[in-house]
Amino acid sequence: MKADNPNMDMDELLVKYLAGEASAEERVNVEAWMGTSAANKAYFEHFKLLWDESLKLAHSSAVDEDLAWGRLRERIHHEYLAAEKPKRSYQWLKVAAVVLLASAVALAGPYFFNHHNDSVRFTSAGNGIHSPGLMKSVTGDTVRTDTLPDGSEVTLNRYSGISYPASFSGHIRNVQLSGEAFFKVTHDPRKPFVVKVNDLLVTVLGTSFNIKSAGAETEVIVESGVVSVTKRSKTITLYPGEKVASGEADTGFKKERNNDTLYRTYRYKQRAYAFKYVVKRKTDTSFDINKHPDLLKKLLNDPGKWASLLKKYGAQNESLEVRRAIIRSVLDELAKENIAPNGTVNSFRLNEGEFIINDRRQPEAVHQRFKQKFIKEPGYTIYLGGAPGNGKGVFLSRDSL
Amino acid sequence: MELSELQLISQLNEGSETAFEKFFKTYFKSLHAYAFVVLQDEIMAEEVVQQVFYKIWEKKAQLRIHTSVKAFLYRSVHNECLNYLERQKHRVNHQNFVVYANRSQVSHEGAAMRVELNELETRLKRAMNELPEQCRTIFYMSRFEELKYREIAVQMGISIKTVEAQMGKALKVLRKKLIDFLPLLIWLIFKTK
Repeated sequence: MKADNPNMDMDELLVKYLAGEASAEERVNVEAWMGTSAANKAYFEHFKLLWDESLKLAHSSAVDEDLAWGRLRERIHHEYLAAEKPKRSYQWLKVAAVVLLASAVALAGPYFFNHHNDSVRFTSAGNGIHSPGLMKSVTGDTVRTDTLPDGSEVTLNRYSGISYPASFSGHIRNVQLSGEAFFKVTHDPRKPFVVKVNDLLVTVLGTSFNIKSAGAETEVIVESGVVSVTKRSKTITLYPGEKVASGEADTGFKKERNNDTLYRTYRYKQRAYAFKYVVKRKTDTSFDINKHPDLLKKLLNDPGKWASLLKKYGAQNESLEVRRAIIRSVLDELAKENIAPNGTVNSFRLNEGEFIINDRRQPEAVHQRFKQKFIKEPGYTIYLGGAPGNGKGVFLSRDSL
Repeated sequence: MELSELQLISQLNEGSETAFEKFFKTYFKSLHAYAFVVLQDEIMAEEVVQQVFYKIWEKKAQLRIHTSVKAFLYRSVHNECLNYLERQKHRVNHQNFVVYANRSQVSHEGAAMRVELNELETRLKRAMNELPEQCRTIFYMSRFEELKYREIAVQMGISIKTVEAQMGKALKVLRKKLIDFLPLLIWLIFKTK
């Protein structure tokens, strides 16, 4: 028996006892040994004290390994950091990243913040044992610009929401967003700026980039710089001209060239929003915002108004491509909300008074949602199929789609 | 060493970043926790772990691991921690001070995540760091990764009997080193009982 040989094996046995590795018989032996003298008991208490104290030194790492990997990779790929070297362009580097997060489901804002389970891990990853107050900012009918603790600026569009810690005390600057926002991110290579949107983590690794997301669907498009996008355990690094689209399913989370897609880009340039709206299809016709100086000026003054302004200017004189884009965005939304699957809509008419799909009037709740989203001025009508109407709006025949 | 580990290392030798990412993510958390025990500072712990992996990546083509991967990584992190602490001691030059000060300014967690230890904990930490390598690694794995003896034996490629012996040795050595400090505490414990 081990207990018969206390000098040799008792230490091992005591530790096994403490570690819960001892068998029933060994436990009996240890307890018997402790009972034989106060010295034995004290010896065991020493072990127990050290055993318990050692655990106080322990630490469960709250650092997210995905983010840590991002930091290491950044270090390995020197070229990402090379941009930091020229000291003269310091002012430029201070505003190193521009992010746009646009959600088609703008109204999701208010209940976005209820996703506690989802957010706890994310928040704790940055803050460890400390959990500073969470700041929340939700917009109603107006656009507002907030300044984050690190000096980054966020312009929130209508019906959007953002939450962030009162101070970015962790390894990352973590922000959660729903709806639409325009980010001007202060450069800090030691502390990545990470936006959680839907089920994605979007991390700023390089110098500048743009992101777009919509409801459960998220699309990240990189114009310049390097961005890492993490979904569950999978991380994708995007370079200029690449994009990744992500839905609720796990499939399809891979990057592709961004050359055949309707996309819009916000840019931050010398204290003004330079705004670019590009529509490109295979026909290679395009709508260039820069050829519409009055529209551009309005957008620069209020980037949040782009949707209604574009519709106003887009109206009947708008190019086929822009009309297609608007009609398709309604169809996409219908498919996404499971109201009408892709390809089943032959005609629809949406205006202030009604929403009719395939000659069937839609419930008021559906009408209100779509009105809110797509009809931003009185008298505006979007319709597909049937005869072209008069007045403001967008019309497209079924064949042109 | 397990077959999967051998494959991983051979992929690393060939320069696979995917393999490296997997390698990093597999071990990051336990190594970070380990470095934290030594340094009691979250940021520095991550820097140390990053440094270890950075060096591995730099020398990926020549990387050969003869012991278990875990033992190798623990040893590397431990050495890197000691290097760091050594540098800290000699940190007198102004430039370093400025870098450090700026760092603290940028992020407040330097203070927030640094843990103040009581005297026993400080001594215990020092004594643990001074344990012989195998003994120390096994003790850490048991105590901080909460691995069973069997799991430690598998990961380290040693027998359970060796784990038992090293664990016994660890506590014995710790007690011996801290003996002057312990009786008073024991006396306090008995007094309150």
